[in-house]
Amino acid sequence: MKKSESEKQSKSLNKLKSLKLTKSIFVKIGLIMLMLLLVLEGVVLALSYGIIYDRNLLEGERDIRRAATLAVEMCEGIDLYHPAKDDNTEEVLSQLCEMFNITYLFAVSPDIETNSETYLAIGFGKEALQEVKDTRYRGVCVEGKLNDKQIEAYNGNTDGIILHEVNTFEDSMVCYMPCTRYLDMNSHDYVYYDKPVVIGAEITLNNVNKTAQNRFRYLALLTASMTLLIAVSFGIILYFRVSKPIRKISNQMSSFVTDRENNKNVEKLKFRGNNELSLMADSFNIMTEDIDRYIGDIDALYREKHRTEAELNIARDIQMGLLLPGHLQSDRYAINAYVNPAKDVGGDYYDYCVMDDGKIFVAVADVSGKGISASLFMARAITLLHQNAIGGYRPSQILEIFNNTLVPRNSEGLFITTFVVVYDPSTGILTYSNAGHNIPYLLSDTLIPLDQAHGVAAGLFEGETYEDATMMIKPGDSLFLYTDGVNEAKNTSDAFYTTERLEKKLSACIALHSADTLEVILNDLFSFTQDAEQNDDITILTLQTKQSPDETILKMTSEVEQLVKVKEGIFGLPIGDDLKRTIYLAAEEIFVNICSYAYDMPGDVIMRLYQEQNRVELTFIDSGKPFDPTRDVLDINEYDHDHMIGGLGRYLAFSIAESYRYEYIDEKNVLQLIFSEGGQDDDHKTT
Amino acid sequence: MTITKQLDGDTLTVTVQGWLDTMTTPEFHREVADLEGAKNVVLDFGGLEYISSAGLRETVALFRFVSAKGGSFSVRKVDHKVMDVFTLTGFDKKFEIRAD
Repeated sequence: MKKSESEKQSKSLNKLKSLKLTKSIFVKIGLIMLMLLLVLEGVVLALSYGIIYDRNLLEGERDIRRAATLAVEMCEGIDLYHPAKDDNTEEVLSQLCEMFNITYLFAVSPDIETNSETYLAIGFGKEALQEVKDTRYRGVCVEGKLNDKQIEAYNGNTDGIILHEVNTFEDSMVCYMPCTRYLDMNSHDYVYYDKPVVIGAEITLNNVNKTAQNRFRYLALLTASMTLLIAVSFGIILYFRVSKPIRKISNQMSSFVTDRENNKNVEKLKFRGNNELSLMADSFNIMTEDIDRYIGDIDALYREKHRTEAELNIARDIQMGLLLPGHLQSDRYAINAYVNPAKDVGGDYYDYCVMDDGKIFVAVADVSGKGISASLFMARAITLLHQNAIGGYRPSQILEIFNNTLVPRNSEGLFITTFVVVYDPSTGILTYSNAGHNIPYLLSDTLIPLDQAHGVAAGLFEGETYEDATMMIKPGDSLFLYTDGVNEAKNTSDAFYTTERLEKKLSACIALHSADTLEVILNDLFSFTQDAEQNDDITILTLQTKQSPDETILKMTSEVEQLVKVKEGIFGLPIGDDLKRTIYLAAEEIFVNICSYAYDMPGDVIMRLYQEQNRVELTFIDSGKPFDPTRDVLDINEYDHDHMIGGLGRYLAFSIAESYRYEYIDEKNVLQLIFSEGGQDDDHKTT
Repeated sequence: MTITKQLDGDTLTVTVQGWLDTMTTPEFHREVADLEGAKNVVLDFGGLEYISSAGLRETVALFRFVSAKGGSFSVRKVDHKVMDVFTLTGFDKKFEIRAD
């Protein structure tokens, strides 16, 4: 995780380094601003150009009007149609042109009928075209030149009509005024012309505008360079005062973690001034301090968590150490167990032991809850249960003592469900008792749920009583005990494994050895749960019974003739001759007894012989009438030797056995006698 | 099981060899039913390897039959295993029983 983070970091650092100037947001803003300024400038210039042009136009209009008025006054002194030889009208007109800075002043005689005009006099200003100056206009008639304004003036309009002509070649303005009379020198009176003369004052705006344009060009250049200068300096200021500090902050931020990891001191940011950036730098500095503190806190938490985890691991090891090895093998049984806590420590456990009398005790248990509390309770429970088991009690007794010991020191109100089994390999008797646990299975010819003797979970109520259920099982049968972590295991879709699936799978395992059964079930369970998180402890214990090579099992009918088989069986044992005879004597007496009393009609009798060095277990099992032969065995001292009434055979058999016991289980009489080489010499042994 | 009988005066010596158990006792019973006029009976168990309560009962029955008639009854050459059975059941105190 750390690695990917630092990768991410170096990536962002590289990104920052590769950030080109062209991509800088400030450069972009600068360029946009520059463009905006230029456009704005253009608009302002265009507007002001229009204003200046209009002013020029107005000035020109005023000039030509005044020039035209003066020209009319001046022309009234001369008969324009008949000028004197020394007439200087044209020079005067030219002077007027220069005075008013206009281009042309001319007097024409329009002829409306022919749409022509005849030049009577013309004056030139400075701006007048050289070719016009060089042409002799006086008396020249030009056709097709009359315009409406001219005609209006010709008709007597003295307002000073303005004609503004704009075309490709020129931008000119003319003011037309009529000159209708002249002062006759002789009569000193005004003479009116037959055809009025029209005075025109023309100004060429091109020239005016050219000056203005030049002025504008300078202005535009000046403003443009000013704008550029401002923009560049603004950009430089922006770069040094904003962009660079931001880059610095950014660099600091992205290299913050790497610097810390390399134990480099994280440099404090310091910017001059009291603006947003210095505020940001201050905030950054505060943030690094905060992060430093938080990282310190997190480090402490991490160390604490690590320590707790280590301790939990130790706890788990200790807890797993409380459990016996997962395998126990003997020639008559095999135990295979599996436990997998959901968290570091769990509340499930299994236990087994070989009791003093050779019986096998197995149990699985599930403490309510999970984690530390459950595991501590489990540690106490497993010890208690084991102590009781060794004592050689029946399952119900084991549970009762177990329960009564647990209750008083259980302030948390935890409880344990447990299934306790005692199996006697020499007789095949299975006894079990259930304290609120889920139902285990016997894998015999079919799958048999062990659903009897169901009591309350242990640890809650003092004085609780439990029942025993007993059954005979045969070698090869196996027992499957488990906790609800199996059937309640969830897959990624939150579905349960279920007992139905377990039963189905177990039914297919009947022919298997229980070690393989365990593997099959676990494989099926894990293929079901896949990657789903384990939500409860999973515990399974299997007990496989088997026929030892040292065991002989004879199936007979209750007929005396079958003694031959009994004899063969016993004399086939690899033991001393005397012991064989002792065992056979007892066997004969017991078998004859069964033949005589157990059945009305011949029935089945099973004899099991198990020899272990000099020790022999002899077991008779019959399905006849319930009869305990160990009761009312005769007292030889009070025996009536003269009448010899009954019981002598039984007495003899029990006298020569080292020990004997009887149980009526599963509607069967089970009688077991134990013999050993040492016990055989000690003739007067009683149990 | 083999049984041989030898009459010597008024004493009948019955030699039993092999096993005297539930299966063979009926035969023993038949053999000792006829004492051939003898008054005393000696059971020679030198070849007897095994006796069960059935054989024991028959032996005791024979003893009671002989002693009721005033005859003497003894069991000789008893193997230690067979002797155990007599001792355990207390019949060793009822009649003469010897290992030689």
